[in-house]
Amino acid sequence: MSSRSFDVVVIGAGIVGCAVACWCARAGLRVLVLERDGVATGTSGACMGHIMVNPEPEPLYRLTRRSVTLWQELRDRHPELHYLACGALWLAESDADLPLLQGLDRAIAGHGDRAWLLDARELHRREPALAPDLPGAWFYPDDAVVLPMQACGVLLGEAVRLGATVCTHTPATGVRLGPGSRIEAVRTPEGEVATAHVVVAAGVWTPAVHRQLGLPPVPIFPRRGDLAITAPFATPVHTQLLEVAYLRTATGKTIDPEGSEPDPGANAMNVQPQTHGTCLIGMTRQFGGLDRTLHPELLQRSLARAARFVPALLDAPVVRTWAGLRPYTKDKLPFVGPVPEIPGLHLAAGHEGLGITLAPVTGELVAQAITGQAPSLPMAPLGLARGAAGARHG
Amino acid sequence: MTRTHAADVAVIGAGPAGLAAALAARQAGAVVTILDEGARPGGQIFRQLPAAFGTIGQPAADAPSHALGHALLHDVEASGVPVLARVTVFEARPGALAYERDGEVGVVRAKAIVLATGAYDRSVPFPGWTLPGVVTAGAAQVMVRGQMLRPGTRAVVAGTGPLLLPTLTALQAAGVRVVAALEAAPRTALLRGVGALLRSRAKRREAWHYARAFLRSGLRLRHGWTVFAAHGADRVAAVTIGRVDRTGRPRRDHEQRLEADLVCVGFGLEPSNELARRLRCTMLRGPDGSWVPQVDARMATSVAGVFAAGEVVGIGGVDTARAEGHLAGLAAAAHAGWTVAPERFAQAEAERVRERAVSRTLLAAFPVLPGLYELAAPDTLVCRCEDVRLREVREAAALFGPELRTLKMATRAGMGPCQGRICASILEGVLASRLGVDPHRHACPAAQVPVKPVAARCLLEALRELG
Amino acid sequence: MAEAPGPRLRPESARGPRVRLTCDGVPVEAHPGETVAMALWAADRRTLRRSTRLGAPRGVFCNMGICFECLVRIDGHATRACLAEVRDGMRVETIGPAPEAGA
Repeated sequence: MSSRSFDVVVIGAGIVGCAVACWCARAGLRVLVLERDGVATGTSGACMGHIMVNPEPEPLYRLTRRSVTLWQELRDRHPELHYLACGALWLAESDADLPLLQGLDRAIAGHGDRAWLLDARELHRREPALAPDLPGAWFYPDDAVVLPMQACGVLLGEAVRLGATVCTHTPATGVRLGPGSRIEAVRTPEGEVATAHVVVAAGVWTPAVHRQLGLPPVPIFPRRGDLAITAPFATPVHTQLLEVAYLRTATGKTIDPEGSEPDPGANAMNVQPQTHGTCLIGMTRQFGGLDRTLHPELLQRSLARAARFVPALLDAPVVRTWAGLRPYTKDKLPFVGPVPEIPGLHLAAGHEGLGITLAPVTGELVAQAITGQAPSLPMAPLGLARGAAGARHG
Repeated sequence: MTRTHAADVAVIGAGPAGLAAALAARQAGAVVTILDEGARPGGQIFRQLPAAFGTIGQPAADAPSHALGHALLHDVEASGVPVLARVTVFEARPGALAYERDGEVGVVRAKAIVLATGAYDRSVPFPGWTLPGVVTAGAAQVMVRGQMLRPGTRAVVAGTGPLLLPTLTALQAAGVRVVAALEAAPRTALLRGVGALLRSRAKRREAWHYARAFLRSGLRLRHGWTVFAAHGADRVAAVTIGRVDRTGRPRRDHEQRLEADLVCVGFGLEPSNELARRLRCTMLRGPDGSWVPQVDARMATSVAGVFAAGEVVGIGGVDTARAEGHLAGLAAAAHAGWTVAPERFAQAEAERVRERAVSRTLLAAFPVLPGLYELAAPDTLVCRCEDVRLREVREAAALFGPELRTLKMATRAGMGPCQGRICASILEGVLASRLGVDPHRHACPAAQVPVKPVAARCLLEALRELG
Repeated sequence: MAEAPGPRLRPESARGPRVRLTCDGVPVEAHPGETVAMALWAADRRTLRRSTRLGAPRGVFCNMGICFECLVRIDGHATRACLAEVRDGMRVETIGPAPEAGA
């Protein structure tokens, strides 16, 4: 840190922090990124890499759609980005799932966007390795897969070339507030850094960072996922796959992350081919605090579920397995934007399983807020206030 | 159906350490199973020819240590201890192992586990080292002594340490013309090494055997020389060799170009420690910088019921491996409830201490030469699996800092099927030599299941069985 | 220079009956007990795959199951060629970008 004064200090160098740094640097701001560990050593070093439009609900569609467009621009700007424009297939397992596909199609048509309903024949022509009994799918062409850690490097690399400073192994230990609780400085073990803006992009560790800095509480809960990846050139499929029944469970009975009952865990099929033919196999979900230990039983269920849809995956050599933590919020939307009680404080956290997808739009919105520009999307659904209101009612 | 085996003691690895461990445990009364990745027991050093080859004899005269190997193999066979050959152990928990063999999964449940997983050649990257025809010294030995092949016509052998001699003699016996034999360490290292050898009768005899064969060959071992580059379009056709200083740093004053269709490289050994890491044994840096499981005076690791012996606890050679295996076998049997007389332990412990002292001196005579990591050019690959160039690692380090975890993530170095076995020490080496990063700042990398790549169906089945 | 002798040491007849396998469709003769990697080496085939990003030729490196450079598909299953022994009728396919026969 040669300079002691920055326009904005970003706390966290995961994908969201890297994107915020990138968009702030593009806006001409002097950026400092503080990371208590290394770049992408938290959730972004342990997650899947989907860039994915969610047709519902409305605010999430707008966010994901905008972000996917920003990713496409990033791909054009950075040819080194490992970006696989593979699209996504939402798969029905049986005829009972077909109405879910039609629901997705209606939703996307309602936004004036385009996708395709595939019958069994069209589906197997597109992906011959799928189980032969699958009755159909919904295909969205703009979805893609990146390598998350490499993507962090690309975003942060652009920020650094635009003048941003990155300090790894440097935690923020405090903030100094001025009149009107306005942010004036951030404290680190290496001294104080003057700044008018602080962006907390610490993912699942955001509540802890806020506690440490004496900032308002943020209702984000870690939700573990267990993953496996194959050797290169081992993927039997070339499109990202999800089972559409996931929507049913996702909107059904939800586990209370603050409840006293231990979460038994759940899994659904999500298979992602990557550049060079590796294939990432997920997904499991379980609340269990900040423990990142792999859960073998859930991973086993996840592999079995993947093999139900893609039997040939059983022959693919698995190179690594690991677990990561998603920053879950109760209404499935991230906290993005200013925290009104503390002028100069901004949140960029709580993206659950959409951190990679939503990082660019998050960076854009935060940079717009800091520079006083009109936001490219409505910010109200992303404010901390809506979370606080929810907490009060619940 | 998954095959399941029960044993008091499961020994992983059928080299000298594993064979000795199995014998000792069996003699103490324990029910023992040996698991080994090779087609026949013996490991890399007591390598046996395939049974299908019949009795066509070894191409190179047996070294004295091979008599020990034959005796161990014979005794294990006579003891009735089963050897599960051609199995890849890909998951280990205290008390249970899962292996893959021909696409099928087996599970071994054992009260005690002995890790005798051995070692493999340490690689140092240089331009062209990924060309077909550039192989490790161990690979060349397998070709000659394990498969009865003449692997090339003109070979360059380069590296450091006592294992260059057996490689040279094997190649010569196979009729390969060795056009250059290059020891990177200075001649003083050889003298220190000889000092170490003289302290052990077995090592004296072994050294004399190879020295005699080498002297008869008329070859000259060039000290302070190494391979600078391998050249060729789709296979090696020529090499550039040159001199290095005492730290291994290349000197560009005496470069020579030689035609060669085979390059054998081995810059010492590094331990096969992935199962120890997977079992979450406490890991320490050995004298050569390798990560090895911490063991007590009876070869017990920090994890109850897990023992380790031989090269995996520190490169030491065949006599140390045998002594440690013997001790670990006794300790594993005792852990499984069998009685071992205190005097047997005392004797085994004393022998182990004696042998380890000799091998430590020998190891110290041939340290990893840090300057060798300057052989790599900016475009030289430091990670073979993911095709990561030195330049990319340096650029990433400049952007994100020199932390191994972050560099792996940013460049993908170490993320491929070798799981870091080849490139982890290389990344540490180039960071140290090129960027001055102290290797001791890096933590020991964790190992997850599977510790070697295995078909998803096998992983699934093992997780189902082991829970 | 005299023609180099064959790559197999000692009489081939001592190795047992020949077996035939194919590598990317190219027939290869071998003997029982030989590994796939060494049978291909003896057949003067050095390239066993093309590398992940650069498509560069790669072959046997460690020859003892450590490095996975020789990962090939044998009768449909990804296998290290250096550890797998040949069988008559075995079908070996290389893995990776633009597989090239006979490189």
